[in-house]
Amino acid sequence: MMQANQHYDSGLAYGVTVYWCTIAGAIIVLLGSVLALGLGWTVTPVEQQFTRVLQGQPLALNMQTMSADGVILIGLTLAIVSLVPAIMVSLPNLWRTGYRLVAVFGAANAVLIAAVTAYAFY
Amino acid sequence: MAAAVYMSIFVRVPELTLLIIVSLVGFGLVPLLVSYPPDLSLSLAALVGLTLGSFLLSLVIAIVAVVAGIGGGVIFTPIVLGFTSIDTLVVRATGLVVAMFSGLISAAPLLKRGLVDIRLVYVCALPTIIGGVLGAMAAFHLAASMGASADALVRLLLGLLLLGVAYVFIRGGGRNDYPKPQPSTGLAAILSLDMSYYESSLNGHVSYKVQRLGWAIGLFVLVGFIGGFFGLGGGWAMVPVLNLVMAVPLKAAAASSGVLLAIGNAAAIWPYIVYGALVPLLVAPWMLGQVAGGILGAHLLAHVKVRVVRRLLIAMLLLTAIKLIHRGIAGLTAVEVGLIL
Repeated sequence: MMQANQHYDSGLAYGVTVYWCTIAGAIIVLLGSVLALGLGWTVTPVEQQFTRVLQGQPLALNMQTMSADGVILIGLTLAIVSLVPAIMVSLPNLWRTGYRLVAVFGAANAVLIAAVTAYAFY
Repeated sequence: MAAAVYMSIFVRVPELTLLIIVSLVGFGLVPLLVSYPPDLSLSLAALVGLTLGSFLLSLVIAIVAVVAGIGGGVIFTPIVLGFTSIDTLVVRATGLVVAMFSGLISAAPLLKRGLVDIRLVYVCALPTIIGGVLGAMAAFHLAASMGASADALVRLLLGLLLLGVAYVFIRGGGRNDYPKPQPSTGLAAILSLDMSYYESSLNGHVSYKVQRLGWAIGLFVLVGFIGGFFGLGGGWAMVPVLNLVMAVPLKAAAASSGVLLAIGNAAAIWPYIVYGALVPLLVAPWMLGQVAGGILGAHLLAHVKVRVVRRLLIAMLLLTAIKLIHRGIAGLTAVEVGLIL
């Protein structure tokens, strides 16, 4: 059952990085949800958000980092952006084991995700 | 048997147990914490019920999605679009989160077991990312240029698309589980994409060589576009492309599809966030459910009969497709036809 392939370690490095960052992101998202629902720490009132969404009205949220909405978004962003370092840590081994073109594909993925993320924040 | 498998997962993966307990306790504590004046339009019990219900439903969707390799978006988006009045852009943004998070979390267990080969994922992810971003941008362009009728058109098109997806699953049946290995040619040969994984039901390694990579890259751009446009993710089409076009064994294709989906949607989600279509409070329980369900699904993949999941999925796809087509036609023509769904 053990994998003897040399590129196996690259996959493992990618998977483990994403796994723990996603769990960390999930805990931050949970914290944000409890803060929003329990303390109402949101820019737009919680009930108003749900009522408008359920009625099918578009919702232009005034997103601020210092609010429960912002905390949830930070958690989501952490998990999504973790893909970039996860891919990067897996590349040196792929390169060393001779899969250089595949490593180039991987690097292009990371650059593309990082570029779109940076553009979104910009 | 199934109960024993579930219990052993909870013991072997303490972070999963912890996450589920903390989520349930966290949402359960909300009524005790409330310190803001209640609004009569929506009671606190309804808010907590909606959040907890979303979490549990998301957990079940994630298990099915990982086992079938389709991503949760193809289940979530049509159901919510078909049976609620929530704005389509909000649903599609949430659908992308649902589609990608089970893939993010299930990557480690699947890669560790050797079911997924990271080389295949990296090569196929690039065209999927490009298609996904283009699809998400097209969704906003359509919404801006067509206004309210864009909603109905999206529902109608998605309904028709789901009929096609159901047909692919019905036609595919149990064939192509282990495609006959043939020598790689072209780009696949240059990239040396010869792979294998351990198949517990055969008690041995299954070897395979990737075929027709050039065609597959073109198809992945299209899959990414549709996934980004409709907020489906695209896993439903990735399995057929990996299995039928690239000759990847079905189980490896299902596993790879989820991991590929996570990378492929990572960029497509940002246009939705930038345009304010992502409502964090709505997304949160769905994301948490996907994370917990994704871990469970990845550990169950080796034990579950995929045939059962496939049949359930086909029934659900057909039911939702009919509902979506009905709502789409009603929205575009203003003619309401009775439907018992």
